[in-house]
Amino acid sequence: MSSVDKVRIKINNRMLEAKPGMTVLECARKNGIYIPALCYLEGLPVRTACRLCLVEIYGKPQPLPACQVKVEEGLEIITSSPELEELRRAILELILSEHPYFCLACQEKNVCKELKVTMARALETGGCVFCPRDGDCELQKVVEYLKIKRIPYDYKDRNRQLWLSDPFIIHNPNLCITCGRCLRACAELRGENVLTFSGRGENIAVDTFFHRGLRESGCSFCGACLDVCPVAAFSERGVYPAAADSIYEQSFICQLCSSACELRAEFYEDGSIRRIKPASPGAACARGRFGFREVFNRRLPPSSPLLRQNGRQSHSSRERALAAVVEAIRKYKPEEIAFVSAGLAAARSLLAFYSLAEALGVKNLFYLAPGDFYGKLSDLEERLGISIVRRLNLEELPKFQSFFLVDLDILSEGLTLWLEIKKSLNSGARLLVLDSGLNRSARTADVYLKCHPEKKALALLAITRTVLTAAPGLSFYRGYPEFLERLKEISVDRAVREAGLQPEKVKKAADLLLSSSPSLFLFGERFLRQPAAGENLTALWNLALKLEARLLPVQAAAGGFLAERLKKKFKLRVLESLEEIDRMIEAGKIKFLYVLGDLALRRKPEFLVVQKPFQTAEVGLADVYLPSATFIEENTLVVDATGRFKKIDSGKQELRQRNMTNEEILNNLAERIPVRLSETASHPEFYLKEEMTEKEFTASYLPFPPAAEEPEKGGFPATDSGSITIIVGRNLDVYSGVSFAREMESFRAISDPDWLWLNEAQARSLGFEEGQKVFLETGDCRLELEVRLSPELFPGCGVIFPILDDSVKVKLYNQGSISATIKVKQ
Amino acid sequence: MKDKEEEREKVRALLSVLPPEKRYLMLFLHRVQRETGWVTEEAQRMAAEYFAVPVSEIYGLVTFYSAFRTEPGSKNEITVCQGTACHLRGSSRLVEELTRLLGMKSGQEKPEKGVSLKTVSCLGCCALAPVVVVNGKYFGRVRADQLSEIAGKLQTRNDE
Repeated sequence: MSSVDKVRIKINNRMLEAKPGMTVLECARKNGIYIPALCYLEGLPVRTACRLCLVEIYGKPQPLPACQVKVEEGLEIITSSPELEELRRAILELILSEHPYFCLACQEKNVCKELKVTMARALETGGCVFCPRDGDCELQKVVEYLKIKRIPYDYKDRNRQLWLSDPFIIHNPNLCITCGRCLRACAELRGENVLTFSGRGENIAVDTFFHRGLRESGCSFCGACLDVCPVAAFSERGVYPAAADSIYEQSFICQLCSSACELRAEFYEDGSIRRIKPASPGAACARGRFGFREVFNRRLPPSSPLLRQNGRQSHSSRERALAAVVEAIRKYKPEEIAFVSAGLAAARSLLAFYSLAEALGVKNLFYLAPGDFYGKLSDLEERLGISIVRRLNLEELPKFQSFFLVDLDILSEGLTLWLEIKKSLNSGARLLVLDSGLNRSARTADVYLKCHPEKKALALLAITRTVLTAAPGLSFYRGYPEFLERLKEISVDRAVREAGLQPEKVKKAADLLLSSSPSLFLFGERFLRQPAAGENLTALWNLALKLEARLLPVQAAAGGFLAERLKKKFKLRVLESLEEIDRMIEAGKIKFLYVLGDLALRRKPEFLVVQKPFQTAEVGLADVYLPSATFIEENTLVVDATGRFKKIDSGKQELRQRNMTNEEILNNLAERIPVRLSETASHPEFYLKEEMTEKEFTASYLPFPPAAEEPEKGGFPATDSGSITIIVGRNLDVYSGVSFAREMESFRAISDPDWLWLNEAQARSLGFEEGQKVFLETGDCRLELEVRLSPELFPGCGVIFPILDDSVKVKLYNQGSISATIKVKQ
Repeated sequence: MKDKEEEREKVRALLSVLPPEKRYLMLFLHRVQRETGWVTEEAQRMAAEYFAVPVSEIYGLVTFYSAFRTEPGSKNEITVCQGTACHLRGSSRLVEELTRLLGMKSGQEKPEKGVSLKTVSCLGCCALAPVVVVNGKYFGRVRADQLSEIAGKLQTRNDE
């Protein structure tokens, strides 16, 4: 290894500095030197398919592709010469021979708008003027650069069918230039592995497994293919060319989950969203880019405040609504007032909200967080005497050689973190997954251990035992001898069998962990949302200690990290369900309730204020409803799943808002009352950072209960009794109480809270069909659901992803997994 | 349903003799192709799980190589090499002759006759050019007048 940290190269006689390992193309782009390229894209692995980036290198007999040549000290490069342009033109002509080129090579394209030349020139109506990417197409740019005037070949129409059966995304294979960006983004950037090339030679095509639709191919509709396609082979439904001066853009942090992705929205003049794109290709999901856009557009125009007078709600001015709130606050004693927020992730809003309550002397402060992941974790830490760092510096990631996901589908539950981990995987790190099915990230896993949903601790013990057999070496943490003694009592064979694992995979998993160290163990919400959460964490902790691995909890739902901090500062109570508030209202303890966010109350207190962006059914109870701006219209601070602060530089943009932001409303109220909000509300970053210090402690092995002396049952699946284990996940496709799936059919096609996922083979043998309407009956309730089949799911269990909009579903969710029976709906 | 289970059993047997490492994937595909005549969707899915390779990637491979099929093949398969050497030694005449004899074009299948005719780019045995492969058996230095004999045999075999 050389210790050179920079090399000097010459491009077009310009002396430039570059980092070793960089390619010539990257170096040129960084220095603003244009080299045409259609298949290269920053962030994607190099494929060298288009060969347009050919450059002359001093001392080399022929031109070489700049995307492949690594910089070297003293390299001299020419990026443009008559010979190179001729070569590039010849290549481009071949690419164009299979792409409708009439408009591209048209001499009158500048006057096309007036003359509609294309109508007369093209064989059929088509060409750039009808293309959704017109003006924003990379092929057009290259044609311009190389000054292509005519194409010597006849246009070969591939005449292939368009993919029109999917929501949000349209694929037109006739426009494809087979650069392979989409499939590299799909597989290497995202790890989705839906797209592939099929066929060879002139038959090559972007395809899916057996040419199924995207929906049937397990596509998550992240839209990465839309971000990277240089032409319009992939285009977004309903997005048409628009003059640049008729749209305006706004960056924002998405608050729909804890990934807190930075997105960019394009608005039309009327304030509706044209489209939402991620800050970097592929760094978004269907929820953020399609779901939110549709809901936002459907909920336009802006809503006005509602005020209840003489028992009836009616529209009112903002002035009158705010005055009514102030008047009511003055009327009640602080102990009769309660403030509760739910489903919110914005730091500034939450701090202002609780600061206002504090200033009023209110003691009943609540934060509704079903599952209360970090709270549960804190309780467990205290009980077990351990401490787990919740933050992760993303710069540390490259040092990890393996990643172990336990009960965590990080692709769906922690996208930002996943995209970073995927980079490590691409450069040789390895991935182990322990889950019970429907785990997207497992598609990229080197080893995927599928186990019984309630036997995670046992599965972990089996792995630990296998690791110790292969590497019995010492461990310097306390309690190791006792730990070894205990472990001896565990029979690997039996643990493997009871957990429903495959013995050879457990062996592979242990090998992976031992050969790829250090390792990062990540666990999700489901891991702690089980009766055996303590055993789970103990088993994972011990394995991590043995392997010197780092543990990291990952919560999918937004706001969890903040709730932890707020809890300390405001003596706030984090609630897992609404029941307590309902009881307090019934008992008359709460007379005035201020709700920030979505809350499905059963009963209304004397005075109810609801503040949230969209006017949904729950607003019907309110005495005052204050519509607030959506997160797309505010510039707030968000803490993501790894503890990072995220915000958009507010100096960069002027926000257009329909409504006041949460923070503005709360400050306005404070002024009117009047009370002074504490310093923390105005300096959230400073205040929260200070709080995020970690405590010191010594690690030791934890004792675990002896293997349960369960009589050996017939093993899993135990569906003969008619009951089945249902894993209750959580649907995050909801904003301000509006479910994306309920709101629009297109979203329902890709994700629906009313789906019941079952193992395909097992469901068929029991007589269930895809799309069948069934009832899921538990001790608590009966849900009407639609059967979906997946070959991936662990046999004998099902999965539901309800939206937690009522107390029954919250109850199911808090149980984690439930035993239920399925009845066909007659 | 029973056929499917039989098929799965066959594939399972082929998989179990190979180590679950990605580099054995091609070997597995060749074996499935040879044993069953085609590489079914189910076989691809099972291989994907076994070798920890995405199904889409396997599908890409299977469609890339003309040695693999994704649907059942004909009873009789005739392959004519169109590589440079075979081409120079008149393989296109062989294709023409076969087209006439069988009444079908290259790339076509005639289920009623149980024959499929296809051309490939090179079989790697250029010394034998022009080469015709019939049901896995290689015929070298083939002359057009020998083809009627071969074609005749195929059809009789099919009649049996």
